[in-house]
Amino acid sequence: MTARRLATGGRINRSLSFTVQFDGRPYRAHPGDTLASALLANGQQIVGRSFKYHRPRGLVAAGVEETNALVHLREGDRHEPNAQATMVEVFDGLTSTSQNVWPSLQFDVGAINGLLSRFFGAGFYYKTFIGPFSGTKFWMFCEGFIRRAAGMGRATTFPDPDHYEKINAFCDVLIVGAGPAGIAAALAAGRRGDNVILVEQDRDLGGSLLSEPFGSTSDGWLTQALAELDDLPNVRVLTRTTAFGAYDCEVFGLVERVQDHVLAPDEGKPRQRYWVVRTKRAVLATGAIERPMVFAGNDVPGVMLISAVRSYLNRYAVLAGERIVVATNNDSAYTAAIELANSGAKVTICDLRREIPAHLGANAKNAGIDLRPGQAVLKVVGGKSVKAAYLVPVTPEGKAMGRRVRISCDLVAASGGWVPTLHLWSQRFGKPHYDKELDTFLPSVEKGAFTCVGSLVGSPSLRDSLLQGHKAGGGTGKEPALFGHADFWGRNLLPVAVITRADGSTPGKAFVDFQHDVKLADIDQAHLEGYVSVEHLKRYTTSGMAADQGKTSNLNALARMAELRGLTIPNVGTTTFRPPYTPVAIGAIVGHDHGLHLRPTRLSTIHDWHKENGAEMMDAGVWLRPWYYPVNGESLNEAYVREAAHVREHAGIVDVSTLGKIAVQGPDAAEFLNRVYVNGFKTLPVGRLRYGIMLREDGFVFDDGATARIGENEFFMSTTTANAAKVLAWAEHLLQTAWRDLKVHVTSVTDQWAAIAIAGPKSGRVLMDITGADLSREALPNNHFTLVTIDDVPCRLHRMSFSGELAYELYVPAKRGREIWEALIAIGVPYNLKPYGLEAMGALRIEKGHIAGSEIEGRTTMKDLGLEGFASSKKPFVGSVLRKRSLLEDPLRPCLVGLEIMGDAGARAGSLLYALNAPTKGHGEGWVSATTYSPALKKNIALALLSRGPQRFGETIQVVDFVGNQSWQAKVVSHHFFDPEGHRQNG
Amino acid sequence: MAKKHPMPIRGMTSDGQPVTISEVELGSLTQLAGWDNFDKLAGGILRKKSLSLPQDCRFSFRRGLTTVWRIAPDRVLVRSDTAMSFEAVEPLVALELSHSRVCVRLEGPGAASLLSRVIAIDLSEVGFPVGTFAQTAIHHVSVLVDRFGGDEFDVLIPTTFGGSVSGFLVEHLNRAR
Repeated sequence: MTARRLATGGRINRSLSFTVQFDGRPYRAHPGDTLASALLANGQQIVGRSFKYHRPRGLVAAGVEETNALVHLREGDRHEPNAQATMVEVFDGLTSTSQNVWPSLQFDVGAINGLLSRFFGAGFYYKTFIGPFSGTKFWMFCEGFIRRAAGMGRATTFPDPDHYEKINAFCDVLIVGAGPAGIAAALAAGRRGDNVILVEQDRDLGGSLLSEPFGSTSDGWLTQALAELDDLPNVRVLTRTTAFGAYDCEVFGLVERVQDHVLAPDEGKPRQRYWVVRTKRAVLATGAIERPMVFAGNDVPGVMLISAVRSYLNRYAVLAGERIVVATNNDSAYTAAIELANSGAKVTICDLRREIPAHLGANAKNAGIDLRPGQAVLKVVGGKSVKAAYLVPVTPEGKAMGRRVRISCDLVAASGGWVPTLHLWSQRFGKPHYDKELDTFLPSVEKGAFTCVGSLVGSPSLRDSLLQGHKAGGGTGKEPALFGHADFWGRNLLPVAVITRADGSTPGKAFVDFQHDVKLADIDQAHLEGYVSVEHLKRYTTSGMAADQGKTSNLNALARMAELRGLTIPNVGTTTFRPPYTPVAIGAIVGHDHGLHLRPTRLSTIHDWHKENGAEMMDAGVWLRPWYYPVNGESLNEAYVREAAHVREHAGIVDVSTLGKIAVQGPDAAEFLNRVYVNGFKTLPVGRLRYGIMLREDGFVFDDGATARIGENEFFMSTTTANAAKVLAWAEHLLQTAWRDLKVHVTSVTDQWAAIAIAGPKSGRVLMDITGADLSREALPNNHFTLVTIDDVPCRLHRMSFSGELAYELYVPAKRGREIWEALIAIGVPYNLKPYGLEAMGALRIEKGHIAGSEIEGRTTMKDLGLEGFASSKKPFVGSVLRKRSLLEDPLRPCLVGLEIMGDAGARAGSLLYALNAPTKGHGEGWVSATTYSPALKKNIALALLSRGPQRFGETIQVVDFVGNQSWQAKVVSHHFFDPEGHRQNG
Repeated sequence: MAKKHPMPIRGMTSDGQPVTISEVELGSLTQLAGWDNFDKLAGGILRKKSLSLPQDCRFSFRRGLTTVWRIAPDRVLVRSDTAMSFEAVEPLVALELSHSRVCVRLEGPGAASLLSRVIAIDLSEVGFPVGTFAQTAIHHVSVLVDRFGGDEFDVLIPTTFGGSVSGFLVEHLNRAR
């Protein structure tokens, strides 16, 4: 191939030029070029190596269907693999390298695979791990090499320096494709005032018109149309944007390459933008992709689609070859062939058809073209470039039937017909229908809110495409008047694109899927082995499964299978398409949802105080909570032990704002609570609070917490932090479905109230000092609340204990939370009031034997947790029936116990429990749910669920942590380690 | 954890439209809820405060500095600059929620554009005219978005998510200063 840039023509800006790099070599390019056109203009024939056999490959196409020219783009942290050179706009400083090669593109060691191709055929992946080496470690040895060889391109491991964004858009009409039909649709829809979004993956609007010679009559129409579009404020045009997905309810996913065409994004600009568009209707004007022909050597660099050769000629002023063989089965190749001849190339056309329209024949001869009807390319000769082609007379079925003739050439341009780009339509509606005359699959012109126009539906002329677009857009305004050449590909098409010898074989490798190196012989192999359904064929051969998703290969693979099975193509069927149409950067999907914003973060209104006072924070669901407050460089263990011991001796203050809080209001509020809690709430007096347990319908414990009766018809429910949202949703669900008779409203007030727990023997005095209220045992017994005022802020003070100490929970209007916290800290100085964190809170509750999330984890029943006494026998409640299932009553079920760990080290949560001398196999007899060092007991303790637990007090068991490969011995005791009688909390 | 941004923040969307994000006083927020005859009962109570019950969950009622949002068929939220007394509302129930939300205000020609990056709602002046509100989610957090001017939106965010959601909005701005 001796490609060169022509002195005139093209749609490039010759007044500017710059250098781009490919594999370290400089290439001259102009604005308007793609990386592919720049490489071609500079005579670069090989642009990549094939996936399996590492065969040298050149450009096949000029657009999104390109299968071979996948390159690495940019360097360092902006390095990107698998960029299609045909879609990469050049810019000053562009660097690119070939991929899938070693040590170089010209000399690639991997090409040895071509010699072993018989071992890499269809089903290679499926057959690899069976056969003569089955049962040995040979394939495991090979795995590393296979994995290294698999995949395309090399991704960077650096963080992406660019940012991406997501955006939602709504419109009346979404038009995908800004070729002539799409532009006509946009004009018509825009004129009638519709809110229009016109999407084009190219940088320029015009579609196929951009491949017309510069200065053609279509340029005038295009200029005028674009000017009118520009004047329509209701038409939004998105260029460099690919509609990659069509989803239910007319939702489309688009990716806009906002700044991919520059060296680095401008400040403040996203590199790419992911659009989610919701439209009332869609016009698909996505055009068609030319179908390659399948013959021996059809992958040699220099074998291209004729439409691509025409694009390079007319759009980029690059003549792709000097001695060109055009292979075709339809009319559409003639215009390009004539233009090539007029540009100085020596052109031979071999047309499978014996009867060629007279005007085409005459035009070709007038252009000096050697026209050979009834002939086809049987084989292309060449390694790294086309040297010659063997032409041969063929039957109407594409079988060679005469003497082959060698023609010296440097470019073979082929057209096996066209394949409408119906991916989006198929994503939405499934299988298209087969059109015998056009030998291709077509979408429905109208279906649901979709209208398909132009080449997508096999429009026979430019004029028809324009009128279809105009009509689909609403038919407003003057009909577009533009006439193109009359070489419609479908009018006289011979539906044959595979050329073989008379026996069906090819004299060399003939490729169906270039990107995954799937040969015609692989289709034959799949057929032989029974993989004849299209879905099996695809997966067995991997045809159509590469990054290009079979844009150029699907129909040829189907046609071959149909021929082998003696069926028609529609009887063989077709696969459906799934998003994305083209690969989408993960960054575009992610947008800003990463790093600090991977998920939302929830902060109590006292959070800043914790940070300012040195708290180490920890994640608790979406919350950030103070974990511990290190003093003088304390470690976690040192700090929490100090904090917990301090609470037992003096007083501690902890932020418990994360507790779920739900207002339960209405005349039936008490009845509602009576049904959701296992224990009774109907008789709870105003001013009291009660600990309650909820079950799921299946009888397992769902959640627990204390609920206060604020008024006759108003309760304040608290839940665990983890289950707050679940409990609210569940309550709302019950009220809206099962219990519509109850007049109750539930509303989250978690954010309305900051919650502060003050615990320890001196806690009451701190609170009496700050509130001035009488908090004596007589005035405020345990499980009572009172309204207090602190610094003029009305608060509610609950007397209740999670730590086992005399303790209170103070509910404060959230926005005053920090202010009240600071007031407590200040007034607590004489009482040595100190903050404590989540770790110490956990230690205190384990000492006390209170359950929490690690015990209420969805597998435990009230009986398991020793809470069965709470269940009322006088009323039904959620879960009351199913909790009595025999399985849940099994006496062997693990039940809550305490463990005293022997030795100096604590056990790990999740460790399994075994009898002392039992083998440590299987799931054991239970597990450790929570563990801590107890400053009160001065030993390591744990809560655990152990089979027949309460009957085994005093027994020594094994505690095994299989993850950390550690084991301990522990004594089984009651889980009420500390103050089991409750003297301290009730005192 | 989200980065803390001092408000107000002025910046631009990536398409160059200016926006100011600021936290404004929410004032008083009260929920009124009921059951049977809610329209009649709530309408009567609101009338006593010279307010009206919105007929749907899309358009707010606004009078001076007071706004009424119907957030469910049987619930309304009343926002006012000073506390409103809803003591004697039986058989309805009132709930004080002033501390449960923070209010973030988005102003400027890019306000709708910025919001369109975080919520899937048609924010064109036709699709979401002034006086419209929506209960939706920003970054998985339930919010109430109220358009009170052509380029002015208030976003009511659960208090404990305020910093995170504000930060997420700011993240979508360029050249913030």
